[in-house]
Amino acid sequence: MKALKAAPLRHATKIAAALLVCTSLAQSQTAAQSVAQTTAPTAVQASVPAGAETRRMLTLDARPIPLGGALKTPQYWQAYKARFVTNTGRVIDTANDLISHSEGQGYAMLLAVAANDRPAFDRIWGWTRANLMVRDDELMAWRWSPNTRPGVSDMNNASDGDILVAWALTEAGELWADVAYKVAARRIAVEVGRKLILFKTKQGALLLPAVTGFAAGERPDGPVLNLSYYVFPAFARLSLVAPEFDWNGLTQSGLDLIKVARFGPVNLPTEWVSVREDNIRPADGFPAQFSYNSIRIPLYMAWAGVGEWDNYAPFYAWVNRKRGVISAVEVNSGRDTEQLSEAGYSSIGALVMCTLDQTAIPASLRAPRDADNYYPATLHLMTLLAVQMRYGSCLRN
Amino acid sequence: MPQKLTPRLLLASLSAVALLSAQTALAQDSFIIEGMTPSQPVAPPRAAPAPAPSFDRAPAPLRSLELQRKPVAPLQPAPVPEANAGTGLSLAGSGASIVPALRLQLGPEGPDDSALRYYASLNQTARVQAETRRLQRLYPGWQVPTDLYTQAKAGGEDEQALWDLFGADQLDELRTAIDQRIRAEPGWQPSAELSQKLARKTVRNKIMGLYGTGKLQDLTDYIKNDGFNAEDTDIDVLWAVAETFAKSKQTQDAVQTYKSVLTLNHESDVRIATIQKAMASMRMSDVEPLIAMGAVSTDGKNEFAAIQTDITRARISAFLHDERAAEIPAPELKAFEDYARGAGDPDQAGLVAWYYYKTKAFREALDWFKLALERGGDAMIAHGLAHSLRELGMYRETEEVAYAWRQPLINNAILFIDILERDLTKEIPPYIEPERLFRYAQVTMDLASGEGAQGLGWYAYNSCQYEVAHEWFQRAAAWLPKEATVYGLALSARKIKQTREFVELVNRYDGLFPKVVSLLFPDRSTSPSPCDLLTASPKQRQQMMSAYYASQNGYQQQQQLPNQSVRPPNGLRPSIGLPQQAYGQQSYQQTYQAPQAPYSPWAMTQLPMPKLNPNEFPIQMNPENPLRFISTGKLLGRPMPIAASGLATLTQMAPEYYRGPLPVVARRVPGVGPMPYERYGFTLLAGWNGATSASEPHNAETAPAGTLWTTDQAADARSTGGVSRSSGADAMRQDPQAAVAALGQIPRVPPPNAAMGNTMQFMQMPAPVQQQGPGRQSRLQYDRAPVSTIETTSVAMSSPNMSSPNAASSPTAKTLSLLAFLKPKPLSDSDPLPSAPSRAPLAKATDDLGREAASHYNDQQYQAALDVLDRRAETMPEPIDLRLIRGWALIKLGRDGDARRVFGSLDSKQPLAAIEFTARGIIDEESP
Repeated sequence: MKALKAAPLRHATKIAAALLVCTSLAQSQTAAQSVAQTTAPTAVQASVPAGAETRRMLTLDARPIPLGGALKTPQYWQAYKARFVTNTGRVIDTANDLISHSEGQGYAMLLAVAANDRPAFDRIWGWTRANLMVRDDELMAWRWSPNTRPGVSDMNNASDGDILVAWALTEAGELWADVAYKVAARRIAVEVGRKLILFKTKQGALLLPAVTGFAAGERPDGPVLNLSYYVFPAFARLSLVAPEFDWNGLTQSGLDLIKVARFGPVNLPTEWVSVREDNIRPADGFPAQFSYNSIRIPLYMAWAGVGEWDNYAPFYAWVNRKRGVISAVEVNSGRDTEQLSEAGYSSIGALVMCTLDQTAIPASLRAPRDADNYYPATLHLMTLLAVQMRYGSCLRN
Repeated sequence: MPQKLTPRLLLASLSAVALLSAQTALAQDSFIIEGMTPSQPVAPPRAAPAPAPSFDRAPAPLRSLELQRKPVAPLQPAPVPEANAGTGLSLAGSGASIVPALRLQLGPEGPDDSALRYYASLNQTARVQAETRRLQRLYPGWQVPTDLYTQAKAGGEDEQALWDLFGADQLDELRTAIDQRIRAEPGWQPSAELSQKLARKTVRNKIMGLYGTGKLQDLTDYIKNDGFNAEDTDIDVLWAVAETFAKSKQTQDAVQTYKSVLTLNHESDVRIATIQKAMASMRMSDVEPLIAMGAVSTDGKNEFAAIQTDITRARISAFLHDERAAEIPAPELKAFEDYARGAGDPDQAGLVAWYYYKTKAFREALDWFKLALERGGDAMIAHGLAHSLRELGMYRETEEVAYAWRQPLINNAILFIDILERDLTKEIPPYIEPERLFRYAQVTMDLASGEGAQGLGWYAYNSCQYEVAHEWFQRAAAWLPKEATVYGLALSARKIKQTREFVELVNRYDGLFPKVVSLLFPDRSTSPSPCDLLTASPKQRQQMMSAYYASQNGYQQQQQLPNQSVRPPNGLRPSIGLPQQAYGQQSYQQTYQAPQAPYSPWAMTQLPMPKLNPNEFPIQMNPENPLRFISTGKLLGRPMPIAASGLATLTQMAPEYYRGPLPVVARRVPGVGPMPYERYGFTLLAGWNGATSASEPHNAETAPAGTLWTTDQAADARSTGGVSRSSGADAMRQDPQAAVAALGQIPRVPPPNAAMGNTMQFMQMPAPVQQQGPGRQSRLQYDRAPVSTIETTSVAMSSPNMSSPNAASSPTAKTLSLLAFLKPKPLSDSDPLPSAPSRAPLAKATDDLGREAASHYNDQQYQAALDVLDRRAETMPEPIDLRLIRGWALIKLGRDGDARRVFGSLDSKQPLAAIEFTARGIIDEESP
């Protein structure tokens, strides 16, 4: 006897309908309103200390640039692939018990599109959907390990992984004109918009890190966010497949949050922040550090070409503090905890300097290092991609 | 310091600082106005008591002039120094002696307005206004002089050459010439008129220059800091300024600027144009106060009535974007509808349609979408049309429209997949025409849609087509391996005796999908499936059914004993039949652990632990899912071999680094419920985060507050009315004969290979011209299965000819022809309801609950009858006679709207209380 009841109409489809009124022809009347539609930031006070860098005007070009084929040095991708991506399409986090995660799959899919490597993209996407899309909705389980039973270690999703995969599928659909990728991208993007974004909060639109465990009802200090999950370049492109959501508003509120998430003497954000009511502060139960996760915040901002001087200022100061030596910081005391010595981390520092001062990328950082671990190698390749896409002048000698 | 002085001091400090910055500005421009030079040096204020936002430059001459005054405490700034300090100082006095609320008498000459005129000459509106307010406070009867900006001094002889330069718009040369002349002829000053006009033109050129090049930030800085007189500039400059403010999100300044335009201008053209520009650059909620400034003429007509259409359009747009909460007033909407009906533009009708959709008036929305489509609407209009049809319950039509428009907009393709999936996954599969099945299969393969593939898999499985079901489930498990899909795959594999695959699946998903593992650990005896009955002789059927009923009765008895503690079948040890060596070197915990909670009500049954084959479960299993299928048809749908890198361009990839042993004991996964063997006392290893107990299954997760998902769930709860999800479940108990007979009617589901073929060509490339004869259209070259008659029909139906909307096979034409014959099922309000009889005729073949409902009806207890019917509908489909009783009961209770719904859907095959859109977790707990 079959066990399956009448299946529900996918909520994604329904909600898409409900929101489609927003993409209706009304938009043709109000082209200029797209700027005015972003929600105003909250009244949370920014704490820029007196000793901050002199405020400057920063004008970045935030036009969305197609990712397809944007990597001008595909040999870096080949080297990366030969180290970290199996022929079944699994991306191995070699420094983390050889696990795979949705974020890593997403990064590899992005790099494959950027390198115009369709066979590899198909492999990686094939593995991702066959092994991580085990939830009952369109989101992915975030963690998978090769030496456990079952492979999936956690059914919860990770928003940045889902967003990265949706972005990569969008770009693949654009580059290779394949409607199957676009449909998959849309399904994931609509699910993210439906389940993970808190619209209409005082701070604007907020992105939850996962469906379970971070919302206001589930933690006393909820909602808890991870600011490095705001993949700004993705938001600009997801409007191609899911235009009914206000991705621009999400970008803007993310930038506003980054401006006010300044803690301790170094004015850096922590990895996990609580935005309960108007009071943004480090989240309970997590180490109050600026570390591996948050280092991606300036990367994403620069990659998308968004942000003002105020957004970048603390990262700029952090990069410049010790002249090229980058460390994780314990935010409350301002102490350096751990030096992030690998080239991939330094490349993000170089990207910040390039974005703000047009400083050329040092020659030693223009190619990824074979000795780097998985995560800094990934960061390095993405940084180079961002520079090639948007800051080409930093690569000219 | 008295409180009342603070605003005055604020103004005072403002004007003073303004004056100083004006002085520096003055020095920078080297621009002297005759008669306006201050005769005495001005005294600076101390720190302003409140921040003055516009004036954040520290005036340079501040320090040199500080000696003029006695130092005062910071909160007591020096009295306002006037521009011509002489008379002003006497009025203001020292800080301590200013009398609050001073009301001075107008002197014979009036108050000293030289400061006012000075600011006016420099075109500094804000300072002019501040000074005006100050003077008005000091001299209540004083009026602003009307010649403030037009006062021209005598002088300026022989300036014709300069005027020529001005007329030729050569302002730099003009300034140079003026300077030269000043140097050459000491004492000469250009006329006030020339100076004023030069200043005005300079400002105007600067503003329009910045505006034209889009340097919004520079422009706003300039306006704020360098003095800008809103009263003395042209309209287009003001519009540019306002738009700049709006674009840089300084909305209040923009609104103020627009307001000033409206205040100062009285020509209707200008005012109307201002409103239009405001609507184009700002949100409607900000424009409403401007519209409210519109004058109403004597016959009640608003002056902006000429652009009422534009205003209504902007309001509708704001409503659609959630910027406006209030709906549009009916007369205004009606006027816009008349306009839209007359306009040939599909967008206007579309706007009305989306408005109605958002206000949930789906009948009207349908009509308007149809109108928009007739006018040439695009795929998004069709998408709205499809959703309106869906909301009205017309799923068949939704499917047709979505299919017709699947190419231009992928939203339609997704809707097509999802709308038919509902019917496909019903337990009692309804009849779906083979052509519909075939085109659904085609779209599924084109999109590599896991949702579609599992729908087809269930349809095939429920109609006993196990081989095809297995193929479809394979694809579904490669594309979207959720629990229900893998469960279906395991069932199909077992049915077609693919034991190896079955074993692989159960082991691979051990610890992740309890439902799949429960295939080895059945928790109750299963009812015979209709497919079993279909192939059995009548005697065998009888035996199967009676055996099932017997087991159910045994279960019923079990259920009569509440609070019975769970005892494992064999005391403290797990069941016999599990030799130790099945678990390798590891030893299971042999101590009994009471299950933390019965994971389903059926856990109370005492089914013994099944005998497991040690070669089958648990065994080591590679956790990777090896299934891969490609969508585009190039590889004919065969599973892509994983080991071979068959594609030439695939370069070297990493080896799989992990080669170590694979475990046979599952471990906890957060988000997964308990595994079935836990009720026999087995436990799992700790999860990656250390969790040792089962968590809430993730498909029972609650929506985080504030997401759109919460509104979905609330809407679902309302629409289902709390009826459970298992409607139509046990038709076996109802009428096995009918259920079995119906199965024979289900058409063959096409296998995936037959459905390869690209119906979703990339939308921007034009379809190749169809050259062949009528009724048979070729497509792009593919390796395909031979064309069958079904395919021919479907091909003809699914022609992707997008050339023109007027072509007979274009999506527009197809949709409109569909709608032409459409009779929406819900009765319109004007149709008369049938009259309800006083006694319900007893339905034949009705069960206890049905008879109970009928007797309630006959006893005129209509609400009780409805309750019984609802209760019955939780588990069984509602035959027509009971549905009639329901409708009559509703009529008797006066619930006409609901009654209409019932009578309007009498011929639909699904139960009335069927759940259209339920939450996740639809797996039936009753039978595996």
